[in-house]
Amino acid sequence: MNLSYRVEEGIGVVRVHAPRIDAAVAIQFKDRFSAVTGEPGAAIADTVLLDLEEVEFLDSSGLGAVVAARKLLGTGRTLALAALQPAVAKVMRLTHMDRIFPIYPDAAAALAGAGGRGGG
Amino acid sequence: MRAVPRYRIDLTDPARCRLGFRTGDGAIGPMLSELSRHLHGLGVGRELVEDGMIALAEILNNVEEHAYAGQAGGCVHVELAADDGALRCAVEDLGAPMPGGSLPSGTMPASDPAAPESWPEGGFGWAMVRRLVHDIRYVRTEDRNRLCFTISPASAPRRGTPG
Repeated sequence: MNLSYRVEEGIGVVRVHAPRIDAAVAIQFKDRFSAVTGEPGAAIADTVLLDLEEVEFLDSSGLGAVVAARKLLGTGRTLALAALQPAVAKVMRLTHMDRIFPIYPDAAAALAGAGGRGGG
Repeated sequence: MRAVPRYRIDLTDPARCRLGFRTGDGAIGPMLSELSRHLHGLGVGRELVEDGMIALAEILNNVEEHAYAGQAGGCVHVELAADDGALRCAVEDLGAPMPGGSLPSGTMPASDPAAPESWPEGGFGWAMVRRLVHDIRYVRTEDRNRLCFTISPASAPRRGTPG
């Protein structure tokens, strides 16, 4: 499972380059997330944004892996989600996880929000 | 990467899909992606296809992980009929019966927004299935599990409705 990572506007952006996060790849996702956010420099980002633009489908195992990824960051950091495709957004709504994860329409909106917070 | 198909999909009658795969080969994702494209091609509504694919993914994973206990080579058959604006599905396998002979209730796990360390990492599967399908029936006959259910716009959860 291919995950890329960059830090922009002080936010760590993890982008998933795969069409599905499901039972078949849930463990790989968690391991890759842990690896990329644990790289040098990643610790600077208090907020990590998971860019799901390429992900068309998320099942309950994939959702469990996203929750596990959130826990890996610890209590001092936040995991936000961006660019939920329709079936992914539906899973988040059905499970009420849309109430506990900050969700942005896309990565640009999340980064703009971070920039706007600026001195505050 | 092998070119051998990991599943079979029979669309002789386009509105009566018959699918089959063996567990442990990563077949579920590719199979459901192809089924999804086929249903879109038939003109089945996007939301109905989404609901069907979410429910089927959970049910088929459950068969792999629990009925066959993660063992490879278990046979799973799926029939799916698209008509009257609904999807009618039947899933059969030769694995272990449902514990207690009945379907899980599907209570949605709760999450305290202030305590991420306590957020649930599982228990969502049956809770989603219960919210997406209706007329769900489970029958165990000799060595066979059969699960039938219907997905229709009426069974879909409405935005903003509690539960």
